[in-house]
Amino acid sequence: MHTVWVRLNAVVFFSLSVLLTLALLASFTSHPSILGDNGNPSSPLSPSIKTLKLNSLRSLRPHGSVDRALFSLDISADFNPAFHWNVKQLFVFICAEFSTPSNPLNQVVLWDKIIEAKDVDKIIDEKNSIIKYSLISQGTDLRGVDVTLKMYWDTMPITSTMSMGVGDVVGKFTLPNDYVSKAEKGKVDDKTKRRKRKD
Amino acid sequence: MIAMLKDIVNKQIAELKKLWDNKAELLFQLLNLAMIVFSALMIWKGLMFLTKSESPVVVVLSGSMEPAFQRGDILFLNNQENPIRIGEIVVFKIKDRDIPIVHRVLKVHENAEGEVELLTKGDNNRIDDRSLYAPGQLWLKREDILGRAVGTLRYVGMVTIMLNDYPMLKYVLVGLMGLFVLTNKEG
Repeated sequence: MHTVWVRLNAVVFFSLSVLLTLALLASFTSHPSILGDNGNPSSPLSPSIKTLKLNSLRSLRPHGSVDRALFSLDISADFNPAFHWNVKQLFVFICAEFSTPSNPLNQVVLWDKIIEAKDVDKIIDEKNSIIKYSLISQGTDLRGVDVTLKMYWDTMPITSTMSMGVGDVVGKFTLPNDYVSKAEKGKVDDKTKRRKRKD
Repeated sequence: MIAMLKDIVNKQIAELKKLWDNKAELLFQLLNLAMIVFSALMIWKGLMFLTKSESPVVVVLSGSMEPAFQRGDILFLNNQENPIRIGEIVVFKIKDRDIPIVHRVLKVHENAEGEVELLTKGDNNRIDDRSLYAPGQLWLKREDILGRAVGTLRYVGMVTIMLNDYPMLKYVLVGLMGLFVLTNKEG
């Protein structure tokens, strides 16, 4: 009887199923485990990170009940390889990992950048660039702490599941044993390790 | 066009009248309707069980995570036990606030007992989320997190946003759907 409605219903339902199937297929064919990129640094789809290290410490001071460190970094990485047809954007960030007596694990983001698929420039090359978010601990316990810098990239697909990768180039340094204010330039024991990427 | 609509309305009314006279048929169609409602409920509860999240699917309501997520995207959440780590996109709830927020984890502090304290920030916001938290709250705890975002579907949530903005639309739509299920002979 209700031919108009029955037909409309059929058309809408069918097109929705087609869309859903296409989305699932797209998601499946570009899934990290199918393309061989499980955040694995030796995969051809992972970005090439060349430099990630401390340039100079600007200050390490107590702010009330917490310690706060400010410094600059040298960053150089090429994110072109990480883009394929089903990538909308990468959220690239540098995280400082350290442990204190009260917290065995602290992860603090120091710097981040969004690289969209439509951006022409997918290369990060920054010298002596001051961190966006200062390194703040939960207590006054940053003096003499070993800090590890790691670069992560969160892949945001057009349709699929999200995945996160971490680079194998890590920057390591130790914060000084005494507070350092902006006036005097602090000397930092720079133990930046750079491992050669094996391709 | 109007004549066609009138025709459809008249036919629907006729169908309803016929249905009212035939009680067995009416019962059957009502059961049909109930089955659809309960299937939807079962799928939702099943997802809740699988993802261990009290709301496995959420709609993005603000532009604070652009360009990653836009208003109207839907997100699939997973709230399995494994610890929340840096850079993950989480959905969290603040006390005395109805609407959950989708933002990225900016800081993780984990003590010796394995309890985490988290600070979040929207990719598109200039500052972290402290001002969004409850008064005096500095950190999010694990139990504030509804789940981490694992996947996204674009635009689908637009329907939800429209239904939220125009509550009348909700009743009209649900009413119409119920009517058609009742009067549909093919089921």
